[in-house]
Amino acid sequence: MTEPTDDELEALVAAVIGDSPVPSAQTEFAIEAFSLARLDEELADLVFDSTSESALAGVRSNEADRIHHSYVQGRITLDIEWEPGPIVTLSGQIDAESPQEVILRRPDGDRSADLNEFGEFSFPQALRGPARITCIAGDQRLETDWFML
Amino acid sequence: MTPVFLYSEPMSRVGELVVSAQAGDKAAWTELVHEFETLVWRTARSYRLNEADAHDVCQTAWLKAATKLHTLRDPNRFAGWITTIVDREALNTLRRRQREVPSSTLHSFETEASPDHAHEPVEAQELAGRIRAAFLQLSEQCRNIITLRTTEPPTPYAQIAELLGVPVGSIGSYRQRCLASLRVLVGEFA
Repeated sequence: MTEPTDDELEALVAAVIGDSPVPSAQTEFAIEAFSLARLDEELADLVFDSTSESALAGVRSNEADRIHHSYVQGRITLDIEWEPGPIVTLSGQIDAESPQEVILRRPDGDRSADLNEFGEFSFPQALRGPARITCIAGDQRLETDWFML
Repeated sequence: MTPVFLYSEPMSRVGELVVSAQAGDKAAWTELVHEFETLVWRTARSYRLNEADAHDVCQTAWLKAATKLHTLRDPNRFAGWITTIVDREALNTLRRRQREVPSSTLHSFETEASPDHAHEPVEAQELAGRIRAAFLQLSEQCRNIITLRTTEPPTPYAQIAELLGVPVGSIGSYRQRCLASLRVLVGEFA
């Protein structure tokens, strides 16, 4: 083809990136996302993300199959991992004095899991999509940002 | 307590909506969603994500944006801020897909022609791949301007200026420079 005009070039980009309209469910979800947020919320620091490019360097392929996040907030450390897929088992461990509760928060509702004596927990049968975790240990609280299961 | 920031530039309408939403005004947030949903959706789609992945990326991005809105220091820069969140989530999703499909590479995800173009001749698919790869190499500002021009009808300059927080008189020259960069990155249109 000959060199496109500016308008034609934009039309080519539209054709390539997709010009489908925003699904109405997406709009409704985005509006309701505001109700799931709390103003001034303090979030835990994500101190390790195995999907970051730097973490991926030098990782053996079998290790790279699982996703691993580590968070720190106050005196609580949270490690979680899962194998990506349509339905996942999210497992993890809370490192804190007297961990009491772990909650998997999804846009459609929350789930709690039992903690063993080592602060380990598991959320089986979790569907792919946005999630976050809240941990409570004594007067300490850890809140992760949203991440994609 | 809501942080108080000092703004060096006059507040745009988008900036005012952000400040209202930061104070808890859901109507202002709803207006922001309507103003930016196309930009968010098409930014996700520009990474050649399928519809389901694009949904997940956009949902996570909107949730992150709502959760962290109070940390946005310059309300006039909402467009760049939210598209950066979408970019990160889209790249994370691509890396995750690499793990699920070990033989693929990020480069191939970015340059392959979309399945929508699978019926086209090889040359057209190859051109589509180069256009996508070139588009993703542009600056965020350029991608946002061009993305807003891909709507039907194209978003008017005045509205682009308002959404992106830049003077309306600059949009035409920005657009030309961005398209010139795109042409260089694409190379031949044959």
